[in-house]
Amino acid sequence: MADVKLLSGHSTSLDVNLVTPRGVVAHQAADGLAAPGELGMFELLPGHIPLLAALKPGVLTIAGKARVRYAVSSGYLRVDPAGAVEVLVEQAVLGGEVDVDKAKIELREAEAELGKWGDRPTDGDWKNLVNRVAWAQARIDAA
Amino acid sequence: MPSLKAIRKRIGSVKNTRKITRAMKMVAAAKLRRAQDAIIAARPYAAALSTVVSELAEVAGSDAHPLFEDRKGKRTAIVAFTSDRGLAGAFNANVVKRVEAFVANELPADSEVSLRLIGRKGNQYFARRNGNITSYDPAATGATALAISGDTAHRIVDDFVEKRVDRVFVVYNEFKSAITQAVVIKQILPVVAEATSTGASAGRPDYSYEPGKEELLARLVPLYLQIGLYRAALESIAGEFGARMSAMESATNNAGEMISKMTLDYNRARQASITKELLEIIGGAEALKG
Repeated sequence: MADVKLLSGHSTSLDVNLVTPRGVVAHQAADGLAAPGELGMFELLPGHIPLLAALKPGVLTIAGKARVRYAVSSGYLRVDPAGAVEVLVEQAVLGGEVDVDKAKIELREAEAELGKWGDRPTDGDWKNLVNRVAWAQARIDAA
Repeated sequence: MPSLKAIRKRIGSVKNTRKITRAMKMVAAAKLRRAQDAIIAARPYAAALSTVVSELAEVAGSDAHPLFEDRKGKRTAIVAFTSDRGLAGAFNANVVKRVEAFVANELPADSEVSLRLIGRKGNQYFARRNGNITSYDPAATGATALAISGDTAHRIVDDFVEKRVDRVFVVYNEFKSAITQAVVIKQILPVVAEATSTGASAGRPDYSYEPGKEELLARLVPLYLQIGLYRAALESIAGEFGARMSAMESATNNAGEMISKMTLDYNRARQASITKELLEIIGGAEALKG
């Protein structure tokens, strides 16, 4: 019985669940995925040990029958002992559905705001601007 | 007795009002459905995030992050959700009254209270009474709720970490059903980690954490606060539509009642004038006969 469990734990595909506050964006089997970790991009293959990793805004690629790219903002990725992958991010958009023009405008605006910040001490609003820049950049990269 | 013409005009205007209130009721009902869907869509995310944060808090120790630290200070921030528009019954009044009652009765007398308001109605109320307003955002809509709650979460996290405030509460209308909303007040900072059952922790596998547990907590707790505020915002949106729906429903009913009462008056007045004319004619004819 234990062997069977072990085998299923090391299955040949990943059960990826991409969730945002607006609902489940994708739930699919995948051969692997690449995620923008807080410490840099990393790849994940089936049979990974349990992991909890923070994600920063960037491009998440899910490799299944086809490679699907998503722009994701900050969140986390968790591989549970059964091999299921849970990706929880604040926002996620399919690469093909990104409104690039809008993202570019947002990027410009947020960068202009940041440029005006000057020597004022950085606070929560400053952090919000930094996040906005990163999220706009992530969408442009994913498109 | 008002003239026939005046009554007729008044009936016409009340009929128009009824059309408006009926339309508003239907719009609110349609929007309510959408708001409820958003609440349901947010549930899996909220549940998963809350599990991970409480697990992390447990393995890292609850003193692992400054946001868990109870400083017992007196500076209190209140995040209050109201709507931008009225015509929703006591929806907004309930929130501002609850905030005032909370400050007056439940906080220590020497508390320094600052307000972060979301929604124009709350801002109008407290600005008129010289409340200590730190920030104001227009009311959240389905499209902006996530961004507003994220921004607010980062602001209060920063305020708390930089020791500008010691405690943060959130006040909003919880959506119970289309006809009932209950005002809820909750402490969101310092974070009170939901206790996971201790039995579960023994069998938990060893995760590898990337970066470390404390850094992960530092990243995830703001997200946890954000989803808490997001849910509050969605509840408030759904509550607003529910409140407006029932307010407009009773307004429509009242308009109907007024119309039937005035129609009665109108008919009576018309009959009276006919009778009067008849009497005059008969009186005239009698006089000629004589």
